[in-house]
Amino acid sequence: MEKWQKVSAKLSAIILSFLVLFVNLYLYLNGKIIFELLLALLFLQSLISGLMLFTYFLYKKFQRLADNLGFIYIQGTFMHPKFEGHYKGKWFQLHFVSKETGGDWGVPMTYVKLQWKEKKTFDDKKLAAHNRKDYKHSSIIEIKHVVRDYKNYLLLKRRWFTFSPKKIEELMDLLISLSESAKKKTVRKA
Amino acid sequence: MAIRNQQKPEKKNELLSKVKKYGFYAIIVLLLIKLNKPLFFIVLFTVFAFIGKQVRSQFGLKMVVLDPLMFCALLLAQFIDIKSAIIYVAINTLIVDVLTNLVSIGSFLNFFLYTLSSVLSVMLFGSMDMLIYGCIGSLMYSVLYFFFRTTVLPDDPVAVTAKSITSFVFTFLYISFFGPIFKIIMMA
Repeated sequence: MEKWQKVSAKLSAIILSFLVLFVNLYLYLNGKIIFELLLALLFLQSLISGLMLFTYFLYKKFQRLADNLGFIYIQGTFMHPKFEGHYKGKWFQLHFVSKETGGDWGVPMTYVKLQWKEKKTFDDKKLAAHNRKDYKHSSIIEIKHVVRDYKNYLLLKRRWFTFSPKKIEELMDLLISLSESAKKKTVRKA
Repeated sequence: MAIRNQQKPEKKNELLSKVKKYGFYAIIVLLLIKLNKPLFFIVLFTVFAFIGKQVRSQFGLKMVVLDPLMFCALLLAQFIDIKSAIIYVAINTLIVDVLTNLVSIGSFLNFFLYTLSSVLSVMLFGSMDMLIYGCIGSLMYSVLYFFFRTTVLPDDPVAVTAKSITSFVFTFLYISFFGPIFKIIMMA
């Protein structure tokens, strides 16, 4: 989005909020609506504006984190973005999620993925040694190896979102060291 | 050109079917208002509770109780009858969980706590201002929920504390800002 488009979007949102407020006040002061209805409408507007501001605030935090790490935003929603980039010569992806089902539903999580195109195998027991444990400034839910058609990766699930580049780097360093210590063998892609 | 012409009638048919569907729903709602006031409000409040839960899950706010379940149960218990409040709570705790295969002891606990808090607060303090019996009801639910979820059915203490606090806060806000207008509508 261009800078002028961002500014116009913000200004439009502010103007719309004030417009809705003034319309409600005008209707009340002219006796078109009762005080109780005005109260309900004002609260509803505050609730919706609050949720939108919260979403925007989170989006800015994600954007700043991506810029600090030098990663590129690849996809995802406002609340659950995906970034990709390189750290110490390795290909990483960050994904911020909150699942709607499962044991950890509704808990915001940070997924850190160390990815390769060529297939690799790992000792699952060594990977699982960090499951449900604290590591430096993070509470790790699970570390596992995931295989897809086009890539495979070491997935680290961290409890809660984090916007600190330092904490993300600690986790990426952990994955890099685990990728060496838990490695079985590398099968080169033909 | 032929494809574009085909798409236009398809879009018109889709729009027409949507208009018919929502028109049908509107007629049902109007009939309900005329025929059965308690059922109308149970349906309306179930829709509100559903919207609150959807917003909560979309934002991943597991520890924030946004849905107006307690608030609506209090309104039904006070302005309609206790039976309607119990049916409403049963629909939104037990029946919804059964239909989504998520039923557990927690569902029964929720049903029990919501019913007890709303019914007891209205029965004992219903003659007072809505803010008083509403706050007592929501405080009762939060305290009982905290007690049961830390002793009888233990859960993550941070989640339990957050849910207890946010449940009370949002119910208080709903009572303060939506309570007066709903009181007028439901007493009409």
